Amino acid sequence: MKKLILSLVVLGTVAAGARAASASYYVEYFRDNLFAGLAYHRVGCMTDWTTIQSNQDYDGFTNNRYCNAGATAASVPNASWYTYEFLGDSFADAQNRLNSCGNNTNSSYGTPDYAASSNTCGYNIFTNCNSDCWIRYFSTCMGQTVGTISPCFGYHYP
Amino acid sequence: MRYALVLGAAALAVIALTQIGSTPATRPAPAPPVAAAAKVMPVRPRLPPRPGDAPPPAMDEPILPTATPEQRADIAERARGAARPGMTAFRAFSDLYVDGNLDLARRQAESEGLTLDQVRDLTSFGLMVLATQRVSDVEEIVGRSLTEEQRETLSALMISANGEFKEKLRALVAAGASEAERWKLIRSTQSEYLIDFYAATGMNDDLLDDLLAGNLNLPGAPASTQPPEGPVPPASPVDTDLHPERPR
Repeated sequence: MKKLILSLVVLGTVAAGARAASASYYVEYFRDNLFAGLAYHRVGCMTDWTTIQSNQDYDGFTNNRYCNAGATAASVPNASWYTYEFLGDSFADAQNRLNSCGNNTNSSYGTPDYAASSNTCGYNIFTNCNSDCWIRYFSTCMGQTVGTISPCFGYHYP
Repeated sequence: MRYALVLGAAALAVIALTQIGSTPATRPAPAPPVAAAAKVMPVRPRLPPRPGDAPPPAMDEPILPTATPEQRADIAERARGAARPGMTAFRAFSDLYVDGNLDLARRQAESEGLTLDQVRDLTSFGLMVLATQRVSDVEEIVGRSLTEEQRETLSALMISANGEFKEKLRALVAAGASEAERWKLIRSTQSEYLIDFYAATGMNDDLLDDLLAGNLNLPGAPASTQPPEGPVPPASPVDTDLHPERPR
């Protein structure tokens, strides 16, 4: 009986170790609701479902910081979770995908290095020049378009 | 400064805004209510999802709002001869945005214990606060770079004002405060934010109006824009869940 229990303990330990060693990566999306109206800022963070994996905010049109490496993935400062996309088990591949789509979106919206202002379009909540449209383009590039509410008039992808 | 043209563009704003909605026949009809939107709250899975797991709940298709003739007339009337053309144009677009999401706005009002007008006003204010956080635009308008301390003050201002407002609002609603009391809180919050924003950046009412009018050299600026030429935006999900819960 002792041998059986010991075996189970060993198996459990090995299984837990295997799980820990094979982390998976995600982009999780959060939204910052401003003043209880319909104004939102939306941002994507890279996570392993437990912690945020990098300091890179995947967003445009703000300098505010949301993604802090090592912080819990369940929430980011001043914003609430709303959806996610699975990115696979390779940290490098996941990050490359995120950065590639980030760069594509920055090029499309004239927000180099995730700038707070566009150098190609005038910010307008109704047209294709705001953070809703930015995250819509970005998430479409990633493979799963997230929900937004700006009509983004004039939007096209790519 | 490129924003200097803004005040002279007031008439242009009126013309442009009145053209909103004079769109090709191929565009969708005005938005129907989205009452059936997203009954299911997204729930964050307890364990890390794997390929083959159920995907996040699909969201409803977005609805492209188009302005009716009455709405266009209203926008033109509001913009005509406005003392603050930038603010007027900015507010007009904000209202179009709310009009395009009326069901969501009604549910937000119900959820927060507000009136629809209050949600409309707070939406415009929230969007304005986001605009004040565009540091590079603010720097261009005031004609100098903000110090790191000023940038941090500005960022913290949005966070603290937003958090304190929502906390006070929810306390008022919980205490059964009247609509007038809620308006009083809204107005004082708006006023105090602007005082602090001006103190932190050197902006003032006139410069804020320039900021909200947008850069006339770029397409889409609220003071000069009309819907750009091009295809109707493709359908994509719309975020209609007020309180999605991240699964453990």
